[in-house]
Amino acid sequence: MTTSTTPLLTVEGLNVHLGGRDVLHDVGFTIAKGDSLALVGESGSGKTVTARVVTGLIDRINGKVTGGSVKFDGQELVNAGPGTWTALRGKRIALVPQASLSSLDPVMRIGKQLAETIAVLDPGADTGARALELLDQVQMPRPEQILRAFPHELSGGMRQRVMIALALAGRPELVVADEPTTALDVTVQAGILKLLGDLRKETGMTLLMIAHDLAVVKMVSENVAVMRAGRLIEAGPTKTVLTVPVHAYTQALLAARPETSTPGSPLSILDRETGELRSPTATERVATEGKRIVQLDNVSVTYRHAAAPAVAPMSLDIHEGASIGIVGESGSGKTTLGRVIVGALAPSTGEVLVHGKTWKQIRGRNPLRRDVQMIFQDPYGSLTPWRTPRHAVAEVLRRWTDISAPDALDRAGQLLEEVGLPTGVFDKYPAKLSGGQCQRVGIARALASEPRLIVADEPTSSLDISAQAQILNLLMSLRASHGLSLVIVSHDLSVIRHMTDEALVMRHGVIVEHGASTKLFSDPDHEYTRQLVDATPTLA
Amino acid sequence: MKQRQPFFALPWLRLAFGVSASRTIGVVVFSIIVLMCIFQPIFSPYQANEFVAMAFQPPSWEHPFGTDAVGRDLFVRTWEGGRINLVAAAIVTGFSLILGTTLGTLAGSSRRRWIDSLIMRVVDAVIAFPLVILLLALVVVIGTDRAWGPAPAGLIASMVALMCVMWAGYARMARGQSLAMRESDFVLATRVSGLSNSRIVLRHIAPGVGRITLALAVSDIVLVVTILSSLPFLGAGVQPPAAEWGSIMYEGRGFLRQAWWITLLPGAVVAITGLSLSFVADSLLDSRSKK
Repeated sequence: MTTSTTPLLTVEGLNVHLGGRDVLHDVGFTIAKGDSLALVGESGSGKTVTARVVTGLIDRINGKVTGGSVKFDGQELVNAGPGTWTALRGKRIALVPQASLSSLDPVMRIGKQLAETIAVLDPGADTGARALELLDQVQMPRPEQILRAFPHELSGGMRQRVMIALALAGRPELVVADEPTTALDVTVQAGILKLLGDLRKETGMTLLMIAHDLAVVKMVSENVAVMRAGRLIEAGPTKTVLTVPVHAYTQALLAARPETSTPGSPLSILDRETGELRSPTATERVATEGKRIVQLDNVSVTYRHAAAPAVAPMSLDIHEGASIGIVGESGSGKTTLGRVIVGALAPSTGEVLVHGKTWKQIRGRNPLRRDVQMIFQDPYGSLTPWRTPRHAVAEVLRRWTDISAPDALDRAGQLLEEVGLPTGVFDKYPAKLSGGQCQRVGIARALASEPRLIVADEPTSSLDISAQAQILNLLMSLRASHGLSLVIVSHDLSVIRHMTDEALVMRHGVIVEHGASTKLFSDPDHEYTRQLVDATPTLA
Repeated sequence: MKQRQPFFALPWLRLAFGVSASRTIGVVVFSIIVLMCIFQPIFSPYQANEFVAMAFQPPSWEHPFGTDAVGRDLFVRTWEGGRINLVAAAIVTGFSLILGTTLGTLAGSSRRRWIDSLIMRVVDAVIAFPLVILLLALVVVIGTDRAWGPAPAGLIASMVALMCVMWAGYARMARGQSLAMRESDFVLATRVSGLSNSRIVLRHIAPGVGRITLALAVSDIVLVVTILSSLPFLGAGVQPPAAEWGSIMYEGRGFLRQAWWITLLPGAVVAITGLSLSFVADSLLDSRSKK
């Protein structure tokens, strides 16, 4: 990688007004030709807005640049006309959007979509040959077949490679990648990140990457800029920022990562108001008898019309006070297994026994139903949109205890306070809450029936790192204070290692490894576990 | 990322079609029409069936919509007719909405498959039958020659016939909605919490279904108004001399060349009513999908 001194992109004093608020304040950075910069921040920090300004798409979301300048190769981009953008977009500046099915036309074959873009950006080229060349460049296996495929026939990682190929079609000098690996599996993510690195070496392109994960940044970019609430708070070479961060917020981002603290200890949390780092003290653990709560006996699940079982026959005992992790990539059957444990899904073979009774036998007001509860992956989707947090919790209380409606509402308020939900949102509808707040409501609802076991299905995968730290701390302290058992389903090895004592690694419905969490991720026996561990981005 | 802009900052096109603007316009226009229907006949110097002037008078200050073939004031008749049409449409739609939503939600969220099959086969049968033929048959069977209380002859028959047909649409939509919701995480969450089935359906599924069917109902009111006022053209529906939008226009169809106002002006009122209601329905659907 040759780093010259001429800046390709210079952003100075950028202010943006969007949705009735100023979302960017005085943002400035430069990227030299052939260099790379990663903008890192939590949701709402303004990193995507910055990318929109650089790619000229800020008008599309009704945003307005109220001050500052963005110069690309000496050319001013702020308030540039459509003509300027036609000349630049795709040909000199290209965007790789977030990995998603919606970025590709679902009814058009990949080859046609590539050809369409090539015809505009690279007129005169042989579209067929160039499309193959592009797919080859993004290291796509079997490119000839991919050209004839529809987007839904491709995996998430392959679709993202197609998106990168589309961005490369005009041989751009600057590629803006907006969270290119979010929602991808770790092994796939590792592949995409490596590809971006390879492409930079190969084509000498300049990269502006948006990311929320500092560890991901470390794998692709030499420079990093940390954003918070529309301001750029720290910038510098990635190595320096990650090892000796100056700003308290950067320190907090790093400290909130489960992998950097000892498993089982509370994670440091950044106070949103003061910007200070707090280390909560660990809650004392209550003694548990260690009785068996749930027993899975030779359980398997095969969906209708599916060729292979989603969960191959397996057995598992969950005891009081235990903490079990289920790790796997998408499609590994880990969510299915979680749903079988809570009785939301009936197993095709075998039995799930809760204190000796199957879920089929537990109907109506059987108190065994209370013992096993669930926390969901999608914090918004798991709350009924027209039920306020207080009512959602109160109705569970009323179902299981004999209390009057006003008492239940009071008690619900106490529970919501216990899980750290701000009092102001108790009576608001879920759409007005943040993701982390919704997740707390979900936890309070699960706690309302005083369970012995909580199954948490990817409880933090849609949350920011600081919200994740808070939710993980909450779960951990609840486990200690209530003597709860936890089953945590996650794709994130660091979460599992931090939260659980023993873990299962699943792949294609089969449990490939089962053992103590610390051992599993430091000294794995199975080849696949080793791959997972290697692919997980770390700061170390 | 959608933002709310101040009302007056919108360009006029957005003003006409923007979410909050379309609701405001719809509500204002519809309220004016309703108020006219309530108060115009009260303050008017004429009765709806009174012969007040020469026949075929074009619109004037004295008679804003002119007079019809026998010299009745069309302005008075139009608003008097609105009372019949709008009230009948509201009753028909409200009944179909409640019945259809209840049965559809039941079909969609019941664990017993036969309930679903039974309800949906009836729905299919109703929808598969040619609408107009079914309506006419029902109107004729129920009879159109007797007045029931304040309702003029033929009105009750048309209303009952419409109810028999309209609920099916709501049932089908409600079933689809509740099927989709049954699979959602929040319903799964209530199951895991151990809430009773009736509570899950009433508090967690039905409100969501109701929001969708209600929006459909608002836009359907106008459909009912149109069907009610086209029945007279088929010889069914409200019988003359009652002032009803359909029969007023029907009476004017023979004189379209000489007296266009008899058909056109009440027709315009019907059209504006429909437009204002679809503005409201539109904004209802929009605000539901906004998160």
